[in-house]
Amino acid sequence: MSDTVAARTPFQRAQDRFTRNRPALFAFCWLAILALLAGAALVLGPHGYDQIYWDRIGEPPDLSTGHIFGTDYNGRDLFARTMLGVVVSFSIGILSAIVSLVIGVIYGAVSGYVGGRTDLIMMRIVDGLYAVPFMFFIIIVVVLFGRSIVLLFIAVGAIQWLTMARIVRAQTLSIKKSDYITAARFSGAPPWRILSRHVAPNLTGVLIVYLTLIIPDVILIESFISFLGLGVQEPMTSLGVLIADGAKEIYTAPWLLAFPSLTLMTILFALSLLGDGLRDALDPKSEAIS
Amino acid sequence: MIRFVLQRLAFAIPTLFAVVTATFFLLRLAPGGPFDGDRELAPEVRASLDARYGLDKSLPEQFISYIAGLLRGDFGPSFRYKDVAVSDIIADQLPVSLTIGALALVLAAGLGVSLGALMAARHNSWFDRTSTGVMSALIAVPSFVTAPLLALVFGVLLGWLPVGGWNAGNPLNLILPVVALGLPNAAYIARLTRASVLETLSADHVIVARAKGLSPSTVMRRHVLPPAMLPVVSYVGPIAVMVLTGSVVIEKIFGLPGTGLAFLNGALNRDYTLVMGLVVVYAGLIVLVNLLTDLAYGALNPALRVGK
Repeated sequence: MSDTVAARTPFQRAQDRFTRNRPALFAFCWLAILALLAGAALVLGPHGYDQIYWDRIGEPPDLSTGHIFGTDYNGRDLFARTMLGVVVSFSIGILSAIVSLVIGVIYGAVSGYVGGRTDLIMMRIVDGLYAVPFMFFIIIVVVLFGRSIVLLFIAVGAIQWLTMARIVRAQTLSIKKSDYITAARFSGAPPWRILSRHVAPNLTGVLIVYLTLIIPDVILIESFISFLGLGVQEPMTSLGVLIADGAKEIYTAPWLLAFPSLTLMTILFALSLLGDGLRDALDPKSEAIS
Repeated sequence: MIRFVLQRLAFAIPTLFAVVTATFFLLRLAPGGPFDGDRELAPEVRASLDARYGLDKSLPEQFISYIAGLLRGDFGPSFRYKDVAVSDIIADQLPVSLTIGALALVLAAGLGVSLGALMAARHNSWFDRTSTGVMSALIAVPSFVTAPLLALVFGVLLGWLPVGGWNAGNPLNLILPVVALGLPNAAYIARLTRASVLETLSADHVIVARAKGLSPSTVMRRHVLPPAMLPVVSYVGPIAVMVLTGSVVIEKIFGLPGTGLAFLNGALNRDYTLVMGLVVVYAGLIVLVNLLTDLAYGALNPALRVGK
């Protein structure tokens, strides 16, 4: 009986759908490889990201010297710096996403679950915050309060939670009407318990998908800010800084623009494929198709 | 309808007030001031500067006088540029940013919607597949990568277009910045449109329309596109905001004298009034764009038509 036709959990079915999606699987592998490679290059790589080779200033890629991405005009290995940029971009992306996740889920779930006037006021506040020119807000914060990475990801996370809160609220509203929530309520579970044990777990799918959408956004914003010279400061670097520096030397040393921007593009591309794949995998509606 | 607009506008006032208040105190609480240059100013010079710009008063007093000025439509004097009013700077530079932004938005919406609809109509053809790939790639390329590349190819290698500058709004100078700013958003809109049109194509009313024998183009125009535009319109608001504020980078790359660049320099120079003024103007623009989006949403979706 049940041992021949093993019951498959929704998670296993999602996993199956995901592994059948070639582009998404490929994207996931690429991101994993890149993350490992970047970590390894930082720890074990032959060239330090701030190590200066005075005799190799602005050299194009050359396998014989081991500078596979070439060197910049300060004589530093571009590969090591690009990999550092990958680490910085990933960290900022993930940390900001977590900040926005925590704020957004709490805010959205409370707003949707409590409902009524509270919901109205809470959502009006979100609507109002949408009117803040956020790129300007980030610029003000980083210009005035110091150009630290921590500040940057808090500022970015603090603006990204708005959409998250809206999505979580909408989901909570539909979950709230389901029978198991009614059952939980009638059996006397307090609201916070219903929220944490019954509502939050059912948001997981949407949240994972949305996280893969936030991370590229955050990476882009960080590059934007760094491009303007307001983000990560030398000798630390990020992909945005490298691209900004490379763009200045586009006529004389195109590899300085090419490698960091290609790296950034593959990351963003992979994240969007991954997001699509996860959405298809975690969306129960796609069950019927597969 | 009018009631709805008034309601939204009434809500916009406290929003704008909150934005202004937050920005004001954020700026003042930050370390450093507009007159902290490389050189230490003589105490009496400093005192007279502070008195002239009202910095010697207490913060609440400064705030009240600033708000009072705003209500009269006075953004105050620039702290950085002697004897220049902030409103003059904004009046000078806003048209540049708005021109670039509006054209980029038109490009993004026009190209995005038509390409997206075409892709959906030829679903799974080679055209659809290549375009989907190209669009995804375009979304992944930030404008600060495309902009220098465009400048390199069309400005330097081919020499067809100027690589930068405003040149009194000469159309040739506008092409590269508008394309760089609009292209990623066009790709984004195309992807949204394609997904939405594909979903609408299998709706009952579309099948009925087709069964009646309407031509495919009429079906697309009359029965598919209007409902399919709903999710797209809900993204145009955020996209418009992104285009308007995102022009900072484009202005920097192409050396355009716009508000984005003015804002960046203003923040770096602690030009409080200029930064405040621009935040107010942009917050107002965003409120306006969101209002227009809501109205467009209502116009497209009879079920949501406001005021009924």
